[in-house]
Amino acid sequence: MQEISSDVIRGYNDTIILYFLRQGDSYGYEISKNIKTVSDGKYLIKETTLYSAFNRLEKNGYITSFSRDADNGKRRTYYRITDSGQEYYREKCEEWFLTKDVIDRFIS
Amino acid sequence: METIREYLNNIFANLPATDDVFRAKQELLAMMEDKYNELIAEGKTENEAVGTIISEFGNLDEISDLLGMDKSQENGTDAGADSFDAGSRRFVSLEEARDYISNSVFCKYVLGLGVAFCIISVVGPIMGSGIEDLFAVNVISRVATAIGVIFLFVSIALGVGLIIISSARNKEWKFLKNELCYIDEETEIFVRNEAETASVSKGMVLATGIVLCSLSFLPTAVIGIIFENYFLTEAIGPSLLFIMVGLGVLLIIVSSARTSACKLLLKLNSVKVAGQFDEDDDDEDNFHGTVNSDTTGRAYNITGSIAGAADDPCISKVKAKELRPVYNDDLREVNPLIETVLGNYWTIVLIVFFVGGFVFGAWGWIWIIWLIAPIVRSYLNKLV
Repeated sequence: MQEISSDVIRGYNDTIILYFLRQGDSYGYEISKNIKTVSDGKYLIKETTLYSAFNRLEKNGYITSFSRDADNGKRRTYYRITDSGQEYYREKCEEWFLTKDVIDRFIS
Repeated sequence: METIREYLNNIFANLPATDDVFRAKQELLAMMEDKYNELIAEGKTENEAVGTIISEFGNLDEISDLLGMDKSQENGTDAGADSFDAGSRRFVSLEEARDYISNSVFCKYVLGLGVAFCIISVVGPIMGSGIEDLFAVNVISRVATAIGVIFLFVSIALGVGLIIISSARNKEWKFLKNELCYIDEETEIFVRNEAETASVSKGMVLATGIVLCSLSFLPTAVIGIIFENYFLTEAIGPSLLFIMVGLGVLLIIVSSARTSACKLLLKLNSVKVAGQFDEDDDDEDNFHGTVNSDTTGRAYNITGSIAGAADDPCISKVKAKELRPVYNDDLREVNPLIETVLGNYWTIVLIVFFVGGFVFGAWGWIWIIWLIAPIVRSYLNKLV
């Protein structure tokens, strides 16, 4: 099976994460599992990639993190999307429509 | 889970103890732990779970800038790997290591089956002549003899074929023994984990094999005492003996398959001269133990201490270059016979087996060669 190239998808890891956080607060593994499910197992995000994306998003003020006890009593870092995160997500979506439109013209 | 913790500790060992680094480590550990629990819940073995997690972990380079690792520190962490590169070592990736392990396990199984077929082949004529006597002068008895002989040749052909396939498949990985190679920490932890898991079953399989071989005479003896029927004592009994020995030898050969592949991989980093720990038939054998290598420390030093790793391989590279031609020629003169014998060891054993059987008709005991041969071989290996 053709594997997805991490170079191509890199610019949109942030968008993917924000997509899930728009639906509610979440933590690392849950997001990575959701990515796998929604992509039908076609995209497996690496732990290091995911963490670096969280870190970048938080530094830019698009998400905030806080500690919370999960259902099983385990303490986890949860992430929550901020207003500027919502805005950034919309921008990225616009950007993707444009990108997709342009690239599609060169794909035969 | 301990393996994963150890893996992460090693990766973070050379990073500064800042809050950022601590947080990154905690988060990564939490994600890996969640994944681990889920994989286990899905019914994966610990070994499989750890393998999956390590291979999907990614690369620390991705988070290095977040962790305040400046350029010099980055070089520091990679010092071990970089200087191996400088020493023109070939890098063996996690994928390759996995492939190598599964391939060499497969080869051992094929080899074991091949040898087992050679041993069991004798059952054909034995049963054939047993049935022949049972029916005295009859068409059936002739057919039985014929089938027995056909069985002999077919199973020898199968056996030899399998042995050849096994050694041919192994050739693809010869570079591991002939070239200087290295594995990184990630692979090393993975392989270590594999070896540990395998070592339990190894003992059991080996013990079963040895028991089968050493008790192989039992059915013959018991049948001989209890029954007087010629067919039982002369055909069934001896046949059982060979079948048990065949199975036993198969188990003995197979038992060490995984662990010995892992052992070879784990040794890669400590080898200073290609072929130094050679166990198999090739003419690079001869530096065995002659080069003054220091195998202590670095090989298993998975924390990758910067100072040790940095200058060590350079020295060894020089050593290797200087010593290689000298020792090579020296030993070639000393041991040409042993070298030739080792180079074609299993072929020679096979020929002896056939000559003993066909020419001297010694099928009754010549199979012992398959038990003696490995012992002699390890002795010869030490001589070289």
